[in-house]
Amino acid sequence: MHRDLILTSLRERILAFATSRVSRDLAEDLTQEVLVLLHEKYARVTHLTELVPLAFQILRFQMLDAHRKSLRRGEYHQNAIEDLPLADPGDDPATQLDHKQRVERLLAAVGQLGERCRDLFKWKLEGHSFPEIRKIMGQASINTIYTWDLRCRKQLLSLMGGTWE
Amino acid sequence: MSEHELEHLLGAFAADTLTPDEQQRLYAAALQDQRLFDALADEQALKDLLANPAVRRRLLDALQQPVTQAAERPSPWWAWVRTPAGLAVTGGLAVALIALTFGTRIFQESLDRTTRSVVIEEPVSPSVVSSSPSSAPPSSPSASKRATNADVNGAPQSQSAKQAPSRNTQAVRPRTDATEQGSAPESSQTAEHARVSEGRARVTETPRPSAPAAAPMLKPAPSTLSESAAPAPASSARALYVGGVSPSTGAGARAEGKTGAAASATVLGLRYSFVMQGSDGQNREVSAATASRSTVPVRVLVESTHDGYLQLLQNLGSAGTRLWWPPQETGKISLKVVARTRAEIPMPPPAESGLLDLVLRFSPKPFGPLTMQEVGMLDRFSGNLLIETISPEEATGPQEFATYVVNPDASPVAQIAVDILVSR
Repeated sequence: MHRDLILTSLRERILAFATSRVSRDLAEDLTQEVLVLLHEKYARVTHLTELVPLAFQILRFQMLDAHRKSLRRGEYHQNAIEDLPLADPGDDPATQLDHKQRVERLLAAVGQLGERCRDLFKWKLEGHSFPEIRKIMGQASINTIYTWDLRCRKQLLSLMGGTWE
Repeated sequence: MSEHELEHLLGAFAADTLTPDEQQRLYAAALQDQRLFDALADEQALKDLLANPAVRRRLLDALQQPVTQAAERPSPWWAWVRTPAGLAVTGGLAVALIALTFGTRIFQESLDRTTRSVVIEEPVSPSVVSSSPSSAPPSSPSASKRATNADVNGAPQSQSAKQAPSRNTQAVRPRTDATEQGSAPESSQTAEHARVSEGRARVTETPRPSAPAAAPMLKPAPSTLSESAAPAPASSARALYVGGVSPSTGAGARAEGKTGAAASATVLGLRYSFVMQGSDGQNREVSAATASRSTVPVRVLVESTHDGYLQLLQNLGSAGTRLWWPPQETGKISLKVVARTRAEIPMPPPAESGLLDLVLRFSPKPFGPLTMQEVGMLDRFSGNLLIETISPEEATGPQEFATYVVNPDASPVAQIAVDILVSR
């Protein structure tokens, strides 16, 4: 698939996704910024299997960045700008705490999984693909692994409270 | 794999373990499917987490450890009750327990009614001996020649009793057993239970000192009545019925054979018999046993000393007690009867158990609705009943098959409730 065609499709999907999460104007700004980055900074990335995950990653960072900007500008709480600290290019303490709590929740949720799900998750973290996991688990059909993994993922998401964030 | 099934690859997307082929198909599909694209975008948060080597290592360490203690800890035994199957079984057991409890009680009540045991009256107790001389039975010949061990048909079993119609003065047995008699004085009226031995009774000719061993069985529970002017157990119910004078008012006032004494009567009396049509077309009185075996319709003939109200109840065992007469169609719960006038009541069919257990109630005052609790206390309404079954022993004697029931209590609220057990 040609890069321009991929980017066109990506723009449409990103805009739709962002609109479902933030305001329309902000969603358009986010989409534009993602595409600008993909076009200018990652012009060498042309393959579908690289471009799409890259777009997801940029989109997430941009959304988090927009969220932090809104906080910093007091759009949520309307605090005086003089009361807010200067921006840190690194993760702020709130983000670090959020990251830490998310990891803790993930560890706790993983600990409550069943034996099969734990094995599946472990092998995935070890870098095994589904066909390899099928062989490890001695299953004849890859669809069995897909189904087990889907169920385990739903269970893990439920234990996490319904969101990965 | 269809596009819909590509969602299965989301797990590998977060762990970044998709094969090149899977990546190609998943991302191409995501560009065409907004829902799949949104799912991948949401999964990016987990992917970012797992992309962190430190987090990945911690997760792997956590997964290498055995299942947490909480997950491994066996559930307590009572946790089984919380499961749907446990709830169902527990509920079933509870229902069975309740049914067993109430069923046993109902069965016991029905058994108590259907198996009214026959009380064989032994020679009089010392208490009877002490009170009998002051209230001597009528001087009629029948009083001194009581049949002993008469059978249900009233057939004499003692040759010495053939000189007069056998009077099977039936035992009025206290409801409580020997062990309970010790507490009987506290509630004398209610502690005594007028159990009727329908056919069999052994009556002594005259009061005489009896063996001490027989005394506890025969000794009636002391009652207000017996303390003041206790009627002699050997008193003739028929004589009282005919004479109509309460033993408490003086034995000398009795006049056996005297009719029309209702005006001066103070005792409440009832006479009932079983009547069936003979081969000659004539009605004749028969014994309860004969009536039970009869294939022709049998009627219960009832006569009272007072104007009053009559009920005939039938004990149906576990099914309870029903009012047989007056019939339900009449809308009445009792039948108005006139003193010394006989009322005919058709005999009901036996219960499913084959037993025919009737309760005949008579009261000078109208009956109210009968509750189940009152059914169980019918005997208490009656107090100390004197019951005497008359059967023809000789051709010269009175040709009657009848039972006389007398309540010597002169109280205006006195009633009569007599149990008639007809075997089938």
